[in-house]
Amino acid sequence: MRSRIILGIGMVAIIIAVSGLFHARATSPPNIAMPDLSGHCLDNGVTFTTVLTASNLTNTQDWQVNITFTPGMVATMSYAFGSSFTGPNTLTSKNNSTSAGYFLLGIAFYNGTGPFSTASPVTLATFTWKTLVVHPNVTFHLVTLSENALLGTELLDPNRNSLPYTTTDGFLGCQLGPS
Amino acid sequence: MGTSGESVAKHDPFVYFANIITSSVDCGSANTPGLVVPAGAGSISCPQSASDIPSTAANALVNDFNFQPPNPSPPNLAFLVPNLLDDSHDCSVSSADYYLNVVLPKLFNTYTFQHRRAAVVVTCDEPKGTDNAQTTPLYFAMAGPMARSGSYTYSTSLSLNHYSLLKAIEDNFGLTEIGNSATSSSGIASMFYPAGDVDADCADTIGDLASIAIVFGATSTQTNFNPMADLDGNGAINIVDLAISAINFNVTC
Repeated sequence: MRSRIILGIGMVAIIIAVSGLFHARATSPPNIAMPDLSGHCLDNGVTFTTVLTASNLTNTQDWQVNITFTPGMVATMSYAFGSSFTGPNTLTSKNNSTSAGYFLLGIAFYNGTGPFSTASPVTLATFTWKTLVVHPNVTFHLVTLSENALLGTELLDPNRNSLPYTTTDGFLGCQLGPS
Repeated sequence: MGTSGESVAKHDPFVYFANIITSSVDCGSANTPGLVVPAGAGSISCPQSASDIPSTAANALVNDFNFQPPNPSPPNLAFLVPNLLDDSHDCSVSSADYYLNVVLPKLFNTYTFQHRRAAVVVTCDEPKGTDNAQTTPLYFAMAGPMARSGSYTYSTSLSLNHYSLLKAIEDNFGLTEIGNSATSSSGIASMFYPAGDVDADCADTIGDLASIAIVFGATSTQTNFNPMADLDGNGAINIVDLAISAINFNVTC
């Protein structure tokens, strides 16, 4: 009897260990990214579009993304949240300044909606810009929480715990980007 | 601290924690995010009127709560312990009343209590010595921007005690409920406006979410900053504030 109990405990331990491996793979942090438009030599006054994406999202109830860009190079013309974030009981918010060079977006699901999960890439928002100079060189920097603890990019789960993520900055310019 | 007529250690629970009294931050000056502020130490006899209360009473605490942007935020929690003459321990209740009449208006005039989500609780640790400590009701009052008032006044038939207050403090800061607070009544939390209630109308609605969204990204140094929308009091209107209101959506008093 005693050996059976020990064996049983051993099997449970193995099952937990294996499930832990699968769990670790399934929850790799999402990468939040702006596109690399290096090699694009745009004239002054040209409009172009960039898509802000997340490679995946898990159990995300709220998010904010803070993008900074070089002032005087481009101006924000318009923006639109991705279709996954425009449904009912979804509160959107933004704060942006072309002159200061930042764009802060926020989403909160409420009234029982959310959290949002997807294993596939998802569009968070689409921005339309206009160049203000000939051949602008612009880095679209995704500000992280470690850079700005209050207004950095942040993903929250339903308990308002901060979720991990990685970022990939975007770039626009004639030369190759800083990848 | 002395033993009579002055602030006494036995009324300051924090001085019994070694990790606090050995910390230059937690046990520093009143201008650090400290916890305990002895008050009214200048009294030498039982106050007979408000003029007997030193004008400096609780000045350190008032200074803490007068922090205005862009200066540092006030402490999230302060514990004001009057001395034995001012707290009705060695003197009459009238003496304590004089003390509160001096201190509380000062506190309510600070930037924190004029503009931020704050509340002050006045209570006693025990009844007078001849009363039954287990059954005698204790004085308890709450006031400030986050304390329900006017048409939203709160009343309850629940039995509340010090554990209930501890529970409310722990829950407010998201801390683990320790000891008897874990099983005590949560009635005191109902004396506050709901967590996401920006406009203090006893309901967390889409209007409150919109009030946050409209100042989204504002920090305490900016003119459009709305302290009442800064639900976590960190000096910025961000996704956490939106999340607090969203998760409490439709919660009413």
